[in-house]
Amino acid sequence: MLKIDHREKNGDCRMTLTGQLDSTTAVELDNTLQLILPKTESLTIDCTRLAYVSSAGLRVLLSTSKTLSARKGLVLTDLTDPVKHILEVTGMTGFFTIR
Amino acid sequence: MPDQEKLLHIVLLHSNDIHGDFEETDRDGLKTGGLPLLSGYLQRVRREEKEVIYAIAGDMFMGSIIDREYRGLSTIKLTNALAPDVFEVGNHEVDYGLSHLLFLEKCADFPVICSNMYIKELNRRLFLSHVDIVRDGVKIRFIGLLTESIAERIRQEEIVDSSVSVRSAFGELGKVFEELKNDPADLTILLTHLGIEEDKPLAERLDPDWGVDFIIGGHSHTFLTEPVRSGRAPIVQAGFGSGQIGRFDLTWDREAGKLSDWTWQLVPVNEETSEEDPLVSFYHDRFREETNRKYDQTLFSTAAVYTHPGFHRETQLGDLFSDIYQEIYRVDVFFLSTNVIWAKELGPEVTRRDLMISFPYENAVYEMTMSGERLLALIRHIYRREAWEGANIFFLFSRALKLCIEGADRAVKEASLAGEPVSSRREVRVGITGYAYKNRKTFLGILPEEESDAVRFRRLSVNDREDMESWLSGCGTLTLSDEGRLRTVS
Repeated sequence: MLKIDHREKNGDCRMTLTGQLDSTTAVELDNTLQLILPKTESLTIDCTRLAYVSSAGLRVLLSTSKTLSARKGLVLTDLTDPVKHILEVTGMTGFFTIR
Repeated sequence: MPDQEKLLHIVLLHSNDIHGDFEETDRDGLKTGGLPLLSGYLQRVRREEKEVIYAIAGDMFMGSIIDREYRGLSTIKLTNALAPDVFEVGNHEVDYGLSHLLFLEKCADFPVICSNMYIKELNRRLFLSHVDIVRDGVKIRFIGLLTESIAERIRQEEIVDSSVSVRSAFGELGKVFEELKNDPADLTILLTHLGIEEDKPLAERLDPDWGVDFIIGGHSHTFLTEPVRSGRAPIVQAGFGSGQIGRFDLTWDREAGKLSDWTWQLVPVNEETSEEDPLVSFYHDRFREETNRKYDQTLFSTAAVYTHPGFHRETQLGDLFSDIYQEIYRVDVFFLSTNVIWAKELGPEVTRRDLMISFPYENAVYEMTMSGERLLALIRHIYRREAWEGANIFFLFSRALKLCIEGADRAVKEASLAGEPVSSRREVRVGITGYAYKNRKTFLGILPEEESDAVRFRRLSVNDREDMESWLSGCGTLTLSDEGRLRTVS
């Protein structure tokens, strides 16, 4: 299960993910991002309540980061320990902007 | 029942013999292949179609420095990102040793099958014989088969090697169907790594009661434009590498409980059919950067570009590396087979990458101790006429030895070691690689009854390439000397 909340103002979008970003919910997130990214300059994802990210989820985040790299970029904030661990193990902590 | 409910569409994708083909290339002006694009195609089909299966028919390993550097672990990680539903063991999957393969299997997120590889004494399979994949109620069974020629390749671990056997594919297939006779599948696919010339007779011998629907093959690197229909099941194969992928579009009739239609095509994987998967791209880039950092450093240099133009003659690289082996292992003479060296030329700057490409296989090293007379007999054997004509592997040797071979019969006219006749030496220590040691009867003419008496063996090393890297990294600039050590006169 994944709950996706987002609000956008002047091209800056703030998104909150609650639950698990796995192979099923990654599709939902991807579909949401396909709709909002065309008008987004920067995206901040609050991960305070994101319990888990699978490789499918990482794929969506990487793709989003790539799309926004030519604009203001993607930032992940307040990672939970399990998500932090996944990013460390996959070597992605240096790739994403994390606050 | 309406058609949409009656008919189920399943897409079955397959690859084989990818052999570390991780990087895209340019083919007719299009970015083609590489794992990011291959994975991108898989992701695209998985988004477009409801039911998708991806099968790999062996030999993901070898063929890239990244794979060799991480001894297959990088390949497993990248393959995990491709997310195959089933993987059949290929002959190159054992190149890092069976024990290592079993470790890598534990790292895989996908099932690994091979029905005909056994632990002899226990009569137990090393891997699953088959896997059943269910798509919307349809059970599709994949049975794995591997070529028996793998037996030659299990070479690194003596205890494991002698305990494992590869049984006849057809014989084992009968056994599997007997075991599964009370658990039928809706579709049965043989996922083989036999080569198309073995798949064809297999297809012809299939028992119709087994109900084999298709054979998805590998090993022979065969590109097909349409399935081969020479027996009881169509055979397909997807060439080799990551530049294309085989695709079945299957139509299953739920009412009739059978396949009502199918098509097959070989789909090119390029920037027109696919977009790069950012996840696979990320992993691959990381492995590549780490490997490049290590492998693009200069390891040593040579005084000139040295060449290795052929197998059955003295060559500069053959001379140079025989001398290096003699130095490293401190034997009186080293015999190095010319087929160990893959490079056509090296130098003047030689990187780790160059060395790895030039010496792709790691060998053990052995010392043989024998009398001068026995060495002379060995020399006569390895330089007999047939060896020059390609019937035997061809040896070059380090500079301490000088030979003159005469006439069409290739008689040994002169043989001196460190300036003295070979025959006058009471005892000589001779170095050879593990490949020559394992084939010592054929290649060197050493009979079993001679061992431990006339010819004594001792293993000096388990990994010649590691020893070479270590020695070469401190040696500076190497200059070849004593060319013309193997003279032929008419």
